[in-house]
Amino acid sequence: MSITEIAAITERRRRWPTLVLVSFALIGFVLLGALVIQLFQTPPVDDSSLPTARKLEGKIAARRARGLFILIDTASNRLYLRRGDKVLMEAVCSTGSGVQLVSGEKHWTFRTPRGEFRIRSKTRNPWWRKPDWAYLEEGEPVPKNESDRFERGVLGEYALGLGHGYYIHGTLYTRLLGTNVTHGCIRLGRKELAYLARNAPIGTRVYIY
Amino acid sequence: MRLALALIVLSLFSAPSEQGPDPARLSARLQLMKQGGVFLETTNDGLEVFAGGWKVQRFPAHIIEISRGKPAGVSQVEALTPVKPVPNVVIDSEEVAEEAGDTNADVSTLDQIIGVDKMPESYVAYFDDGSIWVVNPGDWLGVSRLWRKGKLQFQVVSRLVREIIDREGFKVSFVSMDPAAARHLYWILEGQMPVVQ
Repeated sequence: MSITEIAAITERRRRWPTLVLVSFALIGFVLLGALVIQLFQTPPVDDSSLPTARKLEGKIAARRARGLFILIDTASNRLYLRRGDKVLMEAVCSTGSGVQLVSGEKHWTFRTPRGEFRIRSKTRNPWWRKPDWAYLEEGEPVPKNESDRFERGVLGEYALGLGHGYYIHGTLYTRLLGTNVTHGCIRLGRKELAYLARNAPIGTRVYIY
Repeated sequence: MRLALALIVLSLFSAPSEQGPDPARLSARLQLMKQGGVFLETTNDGLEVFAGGWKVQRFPAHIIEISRGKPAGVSQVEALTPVKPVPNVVIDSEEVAEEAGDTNADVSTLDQIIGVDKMPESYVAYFDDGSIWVVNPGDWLGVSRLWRKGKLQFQVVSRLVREIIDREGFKVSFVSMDPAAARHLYWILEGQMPVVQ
């Protein structure tokens, strides 16, 4: 055996442990990867659940709101009158400012409520009974006489009541439509309010988000 | 940084969740429809707003979900942790009374408007079922202030550990979406809208 051959064998023997280690590391990495995939993968949907799913889909379809409904997006200040997935009217509106008013121990947050409501009342040429906060916000004393609270013309031509003192009504401040400036009510432009008042009967569902 | 790398590696290994006709998800949707109101539902490629059972709005998003032992169901936001604080306007009537002559007769002056534009683009949402959403994680991980970044990461990790110990399961979703849509989503979540996920 020549010196060169001996040197080659020695060199191979020296590399051998490194190769084993690298192989083990690779196998370990692959196993770890498989384990992680197993751990975090969502189990596939069982085919046997398909009839149940179809039944549920049927129930969902049957539960969808029929007829007209009003949808109000308080983030983009848009109001839609819809029938199913068809939009009949889209309007720019104004919704709650989120501003908080503090007066001694009393506290108000001017926010449009979210959720499902219904049109409960419809008033033509409404008067506004100014609540306490309207005076406090303007730095004026709250009147002692109830009749001093009423103001005409500020709510537009119609007021559609949603309950708990919240209304869809008109506004004098049309330049603020599209912004969050109200005390919680929903303000609309004159034409859109008239259209809504004419077409959305009492009982129409109102969804606010 | 190590946490970020770990989460990214995990997210690489996790497959997008299967959201076909999942009965648990459909039951959750039906349950919310019976309750009435508006709700949000996650899908493979975004978030959808439902009202009266109709899909009324969609936010495209890339969602990577890492979950273990948490079936689909209804959840509601418990806390929102934005990267940057959300503005809050408080008016004191006594101060207004002093400056009575200068106040606007209308509700809010324009600089007081807390619109959707002022909502954060990157935040963490914690839900009552223990699941967590990290919205726009790229921005979240890239927060310039180290302490803030560390605090948020610590909150997420400690919450995750608690969930794993207490409930034997967890669900973390990395939601990447357009900044405007992320602000809109924050507004919706702040409004306590229920979520099917």
